[in-house]
Amino acid sequence: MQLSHFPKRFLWLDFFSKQNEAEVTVMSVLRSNQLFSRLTRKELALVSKLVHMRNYEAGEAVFTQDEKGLGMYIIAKGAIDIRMRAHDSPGEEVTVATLEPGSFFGELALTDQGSKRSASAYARGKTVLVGFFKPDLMEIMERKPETGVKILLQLCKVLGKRLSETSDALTQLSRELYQRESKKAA
Amino acid sequence: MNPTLHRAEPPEPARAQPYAQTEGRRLKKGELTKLCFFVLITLGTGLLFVLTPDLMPSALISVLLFFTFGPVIDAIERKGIPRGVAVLGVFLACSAGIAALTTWLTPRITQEIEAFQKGSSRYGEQTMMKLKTQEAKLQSAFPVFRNARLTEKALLWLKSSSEKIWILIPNLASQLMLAIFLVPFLTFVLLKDGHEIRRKLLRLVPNSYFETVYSISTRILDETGGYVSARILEALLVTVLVTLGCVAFKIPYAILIGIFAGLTNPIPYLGPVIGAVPGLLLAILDPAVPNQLFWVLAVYVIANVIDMFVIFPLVVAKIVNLHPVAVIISVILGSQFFGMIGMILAVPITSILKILLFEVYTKLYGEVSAAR
Repeated sequence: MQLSHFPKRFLWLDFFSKQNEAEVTVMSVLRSNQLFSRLTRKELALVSKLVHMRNYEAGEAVFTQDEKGLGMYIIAKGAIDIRMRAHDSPGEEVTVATLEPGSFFGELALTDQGSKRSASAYARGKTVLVGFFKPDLMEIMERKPETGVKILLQLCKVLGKRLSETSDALTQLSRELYQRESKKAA
Repeated sequence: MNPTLHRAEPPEPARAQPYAQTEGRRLKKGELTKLCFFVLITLGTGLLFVLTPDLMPSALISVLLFFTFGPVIDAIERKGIPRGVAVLGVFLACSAGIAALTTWLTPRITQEIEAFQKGSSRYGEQTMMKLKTQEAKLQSAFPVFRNARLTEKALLWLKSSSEKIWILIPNLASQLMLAIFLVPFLTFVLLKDGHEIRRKLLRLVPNSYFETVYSISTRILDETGGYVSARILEALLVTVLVTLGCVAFKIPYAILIGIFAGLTNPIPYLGPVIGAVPGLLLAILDPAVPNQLFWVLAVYVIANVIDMFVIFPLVVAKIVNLHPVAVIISVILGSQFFGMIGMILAVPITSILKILLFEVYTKLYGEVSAAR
């Protein structure tokens, strides 16, 4: 029987190899992400063993708005559409952002488990995501607290940046609103 | 462009994207297959252990040891020692501890068992005498019981029960031999690669259920793990307390009485009562131990007071939040179906069911803060 076409490491790939291809991909995805940018190679290897690789088909929902959130996703391949329910017609959703490889979303759920998702996320074409959830973060905190603190600090930075961007946008909006009101009154 | 933040691009209303759902989510054909496969694998593995009586005790002990030593391994790993080395170190330390304890305990327990075997005829005679006296009193007070022959029936029951125990012994011995080989192996695998096994199992879960299944399984593992490890530690401390108390008051069979009190301690509410039965019976029936009933009772009361007010609040901090009625009903059901093991496992199993029911309830009827 010809076995030349059979992958040589088929049996050993999952159970005995120190680092398989999927882990290498995960490592590179994690390394390029801001949340894990301060980690050493050894720490990244630990995180890569804890995160979850998920494959999505085109149009498939990663999560939907108002659903309970457990953690964040990093885009390894493909793209993600972030959609929100329209205020005037609640049955319809509008795309508010399209995320590309390297971006991440849903990180707010890492800090508050059980919090509701503020928007829906759908795969645009075949997409591969790396999921990092609150139980994974808690496990890192339990096993390697110094690694957990590094991730948490970076998470705080990201959340702070998002908060400042939101504040800026709100200030801008309220300024525009005030100008419109003033024009109307004049 | 900043790769870390949401890259907001202008929405594309013209290009229609076939989104799976906007309201709720439905399982696709492939996902349904995945879900069925996941359920089959988990249920199949569970059933394999439940339906194989020889495997069940070893698997159960391994899971208990995994919950007990998991936090210890994590603590060692926090010091920078690799997990594999930490597991191996704990295994070597435990093996040395067990070997030392067995060497110290075996002759003492053997001595106690031999003394008990020698004294058993004496206990039999005493039991007969006391039962006959009580029966005579009962019959004179209530003539209805004249033909009841209570002593005879009690002795027949005792005889058949002891015969059943002798039949069980060879089976227990074979299970013990299997456990000696299987338990260390299964525990090592669970401690070293438990997280990896769980992650591989989670890969089988369809995307739409992934976060829910991960969240539920984490809660189940956290709650039951905390409860089981705390109860094991509590049982060990009760064993030591009762044994030391019996030694202090020179009550015979101190180690056997202590071990029995520790083994029954994890049974909610009834455990301390059942655990006290052998010591109290001994104090009543053994003529060689005169007026010891008070001291035996004192040992159990002191041990249980320390357990209730010191060990329980300090050690069983992660106790599962169950209503007392639910605990009592689960213990009764556990004893009906699985005897003493069922009584001990009743609380963790009920807490797992509570978590699952709560999740299903939340999915069906929405968020209910009062139900938590």
